[in-house]
Formats: sequence, structure tokens, C-alpha cells
Amino acid sequence: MSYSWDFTQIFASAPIWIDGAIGTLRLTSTALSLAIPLGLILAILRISGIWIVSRAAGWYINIARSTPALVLIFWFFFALPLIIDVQMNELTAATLALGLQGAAFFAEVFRSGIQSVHAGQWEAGKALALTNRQIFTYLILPQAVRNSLPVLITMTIELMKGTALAGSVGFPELAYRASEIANTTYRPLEAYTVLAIIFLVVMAALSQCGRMLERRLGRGYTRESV
Amino acid sequence: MTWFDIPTFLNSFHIILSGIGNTLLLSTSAIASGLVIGMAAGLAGASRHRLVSLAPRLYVEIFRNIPAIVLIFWMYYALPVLIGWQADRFTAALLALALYAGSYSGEIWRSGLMAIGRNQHEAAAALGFGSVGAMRWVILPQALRAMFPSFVSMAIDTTKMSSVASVIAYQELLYKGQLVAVTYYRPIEAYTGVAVIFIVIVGGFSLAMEVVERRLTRILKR
Repeated sequence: MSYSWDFTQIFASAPIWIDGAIGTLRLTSTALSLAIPLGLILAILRISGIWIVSRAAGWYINIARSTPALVLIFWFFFALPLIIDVQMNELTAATLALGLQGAAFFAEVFRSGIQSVHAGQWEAGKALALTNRQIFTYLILPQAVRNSLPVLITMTIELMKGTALAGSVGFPELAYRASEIANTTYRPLEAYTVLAIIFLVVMAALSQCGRMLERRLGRGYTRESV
Repeated sequence: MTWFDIPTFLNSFHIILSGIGNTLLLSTSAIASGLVIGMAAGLAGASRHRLVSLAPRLYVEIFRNIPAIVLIFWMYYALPVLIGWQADRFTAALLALALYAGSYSGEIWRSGLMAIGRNQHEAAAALGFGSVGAMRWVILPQALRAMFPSFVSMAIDTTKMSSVASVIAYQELLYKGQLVAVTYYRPIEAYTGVAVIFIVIVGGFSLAMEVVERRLTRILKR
């Protein structure tokens, strides 16, 4: 089996690969839909003037970023159901784990995005007699999000890579399906190589999109000039 | 509702603790190898000759886009089929993590070296430094100061990634946690304990590195 590469069985199991890809996309989208809004809220809390709120948010962000994703996935799948007496399926556990950890990373991204908005914007808002809340919502936030977009895409790619870990609790995503194919076709070399190539191609394409976005945004910003 | 059961936790803690050694072993080996690989990749990647910098750029692209777990699977299950030699769990995990850490490290080295303006190289040459001497006395001290925080991030990330080695049953911290959870039917204590230990390790390492960075800046600024 050593050097006689045989991809026929791999291609024959294409439906399983597609099913795995769908699983990965599902988990990525659910985790993202939790991580991005929560991250934005966390960022706002983190820069809040109220000391205890800012500190608590800081602790959450620190703890979520210090724990490995796999540990969190296991914790949410095995430990949490016992604590709160709720049946947890793999998707929910993985979504919670990746989403809550992702929120911490996104919070840092949003925080630096917000702080990168020119201070003059705040003053301009005050000069127009807008309340702080109005200034933030209509003036600062749109610019902050726009500034953060390239890094947001990078973080999304990291999150998508993290979904590969969910297979270890049995969630049927790409890596899980690839292992399944490797075991049933007795061709681990071909199976895992194809898995690596799929990730490589998808992530590289997304990175390229991010880079193009960054270039587009950069140019637009200087054209409109503050 | 099940609560945290302290007696069982204390009884089984020694099992979890024995995993820490393996985690630290894998992490430090991967970080060290990654730093070395990264230096080679960074030096080559910063080169002005396109052919020389192509290979490192490809290397970084490939290993930054593939998840660590896929790499570990490949090293442990696919590589033996290719070269007819089965790596043991530690070696497979180390290979995967070293290449992973090396790609991040390579990017840090490359951007750190390229950030040092050409005038520094020319000034060093004008002072009679050979290329090695220029690196040692002029370029690297400046570059390292800037790169240090990024290296700390890479080290922390690699340490967290070492938990993925548990999927090929390498007996590190998370694997021991799983063992305890399954043996004592106490997943809450086991996994919470593992999470807390990781937080302590990562937090402690960050704090220590802050101190090191302050000292390093003082030394390098001289």
C-alpha cells in the first residue's frame, strides 16, 4: 500500500466528504452567529467606564482565551449537561464552546477597532449635540466595524479551523468524516491527505478574500479621508 | 443536579497532575523546534531573491491553513503508510506541532527581520561587520525586541494546541482528564480541573514573560 496511491475509493465516497463539509459549515455558522454579537457586546463592556463591568469582561476574555478549544468542547459536552441537567447534543456543545471562546477573540478585535476610530469623531459628534449613545451607535461603531473587517475574517478562519476539533465528541464534520473514510477504506494516507488539501484550499481562498478586502478598504478609507 | 465533588477530585488529582509533565514536554519541544524552523524560514523568507523566499512562503501558507488536529492525524496515521515507519505518539504530535509552530514563528521572524531598514545593514557593513556579525550585534537585537511579544503569543498558542495530541492518545493533560472522567464518572471535576490547570499554566507563563520582556528591553536598549 506504500507508494501506490489509490484515490478511487476516496472519490467514490464523495457524498460523505460533502456531508462532512456541510457539517463544518453548519458549525462554523452557528458558532459565528454566537461569537460575533457576543464579542461586540463584550468589547463594549470591556471599554465601559464602570470598573467592575470592565474588569469582569476582562476576566472572561482572559479565561476564554487561555483555555484550549478542545478542553472547552469536552467541558461543554460532558460536564455542563450534568451541572444544569440538560441533554446536550454535539452541535450545541461545540457551538457553545467555539462561540463563547470566539466571542472573547472577537471582543479584542472589536475593542481595538473601536479604539482605532479617530478621537476627532467623538468631538465632532459632541459638536453636533448628539448623546454619547448616539455618537457610539451611528458614528463610531460603523467605522469600528469597517476597520476591523480584515482581522474579523482572520478570526473567522481560525474559528473554522477550530471546528475540526468538534469531531472528537462525535460531531460529523470534515475531520470526523475523513477519519471514518480512512477507517472504512483502509486508505488513511489518501484520506487524510485529501482532508488536508480541502482545508488548505478553502482556508487559503478565504485568506485571499480577506487580503483583497483589506486592500479595498484601505484604499477607500484614504479616498474618503476623515 | 450534580455538584463538584471535592473528595473524589482530590483522590484523582494525581492522575491529572501526571499529565502536566507530558504537556509541558510536548509544548516546550514544539516551541523550541518551531523557533528554530521559523528562524530558517524567516531568514529565507526575508530574502530579496524570489526563488529563495518562495519555499518558506509556501510552507507558511500550508501550515497556517491546516488545522493542528488534521496535521496530527496525518503525522500519526498517514505518514507511516507513506514512509513505512510508524512514529510513536510523542514524535507524531511533535512533528505536527513543530511544523505548526514553525509556520507562525517563520512569519514572525520574516516580518521582524524585514522591519529592520536597509540602512541598518549598510551601517553595519560600513562599520566592518561581516554578515554574521551584523546579525548578531546590529540586526537581531533590534528585531528581537519587537518580535518578543509575538513569540510569547506563539508559545501560548502552541501550549494550548498540545491538548489536541490527546486525540491520538498521547498521555498529556487532557487525555488524563478524559481518563479520570471516564473512570470515576466525574466529568465535571475532571474537565474543570483540566481547564483550570491550563488557565494557570497560560496565565503564569504570560506573567513570567511580561517580566522577561521588561528585563529584555532594559538589556537590549543598552
